[in-house]
Amino acid sequence: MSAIARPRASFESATDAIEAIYDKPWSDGLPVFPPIPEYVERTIEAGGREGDAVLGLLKERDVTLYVWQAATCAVMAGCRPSYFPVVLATWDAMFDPNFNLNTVLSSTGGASIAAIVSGPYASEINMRSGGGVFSPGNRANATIGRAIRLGAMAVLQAITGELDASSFGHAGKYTFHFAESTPPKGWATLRERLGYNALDTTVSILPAESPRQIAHRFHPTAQDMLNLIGATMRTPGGCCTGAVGHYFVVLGPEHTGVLVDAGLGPDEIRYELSRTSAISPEELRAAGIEPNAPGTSYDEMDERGYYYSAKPENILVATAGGYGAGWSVVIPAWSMSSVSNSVTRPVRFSSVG
Amino acid sequence: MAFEIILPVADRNAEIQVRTRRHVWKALPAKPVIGLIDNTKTYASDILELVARKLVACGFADSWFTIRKSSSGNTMTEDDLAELVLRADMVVAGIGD
Repeated sequence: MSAIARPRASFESATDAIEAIYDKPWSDGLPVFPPIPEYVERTIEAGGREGDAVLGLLKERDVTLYVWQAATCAVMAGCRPSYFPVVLATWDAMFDPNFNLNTVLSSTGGASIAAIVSGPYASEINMRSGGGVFSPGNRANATIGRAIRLGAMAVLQAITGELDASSFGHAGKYTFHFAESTPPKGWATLRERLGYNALDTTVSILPAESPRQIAHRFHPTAQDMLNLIGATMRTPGGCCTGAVGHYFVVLGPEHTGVLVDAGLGPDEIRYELSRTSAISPEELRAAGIEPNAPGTSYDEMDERGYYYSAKPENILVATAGGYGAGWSVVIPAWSMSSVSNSVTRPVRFSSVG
Repeated sequence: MAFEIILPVADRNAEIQVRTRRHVWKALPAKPVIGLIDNTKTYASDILELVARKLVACGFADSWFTIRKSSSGNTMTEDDLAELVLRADMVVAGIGD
């Protein structure tokens, strides 16, 4: 029996319930699955935590998110109960003060919540990591991220045009969860590089701008790849460019192969990308940006006098995506690390641990 | 037959409540001191100081001081809030870009 009353409503039909939810600002514009009590309870149970447990408090809005509310939104999003531990781990990460959730959900910059799921549980729930990793068609990828957005809207009041003041936003705000693919031989998984065990599953989140796809189909060398990825990271209009922010660098199979063949591992890649993504004052000025103008954040330089876009520790390198002509993707944070940071949390299957 | 669902919140309007004021209102003195909150966005301090200068020039306010946030994306610190409460009779804040 729940200690906190869970509000219920009765309708003539499922269609009426779906339409009633449309009348509230609780949908992303797509139809929601009606959160019938039995399914919400099964979802709570699958998360291994008490339904009345607090997931987090957004103090600026004086709003608390409870497990049962996250479960209700997960059902609305179309999640299977088995996805709920990943949803909970995402919320755990989002309520870390280093993430600065209130600002992430409010900013005119229109950040999404991008999330890399690394570990065996991602495979167990059939998350997609390979071809079409950011494409439609995978229920887990689509609905886990959507569960987060619906929770942000319905419970945390991140309503578009109201407390979510996004000037544009982007498609990743509907959903942006994906799984890490098996890294090449000799590379540790993302979770291991972040200090977890191979058998753990983790969720790493980033307050993200839209992804930027990188093509290099002309037999690049490893240095070509590092230069091109770095150039993509330092696009002058990016919020983190020259201002030290976090990035997800998602390497496709061909580009990973080039880097592996050159003997590079993720740590070397992060270090090199920190250098190749740094931007010179001249390059900023050529793009119409005066780095010394009032209010700018271009102040941390390397020994060349280039402004850092990211330090090695700000860059999370993961493998994903499918074979093709040679593609990778950079996902930049929407703001500098002085405002918000990538955060990682383990997927737990009980309230302990 | 009724189709029952659980709602994610009881009622959106009921959920949004005005927080209890942290401090008691007091009447403005004849010449108030203005606290400016600079959110660090481009030209925020220029605009705020322009407003403050005009308020002093027209005889409304006595003086002003500025509290600068660590960044526009971060909330004010408790220390900064306490300083505002201690020194300012009224506050002018700039929001947005």
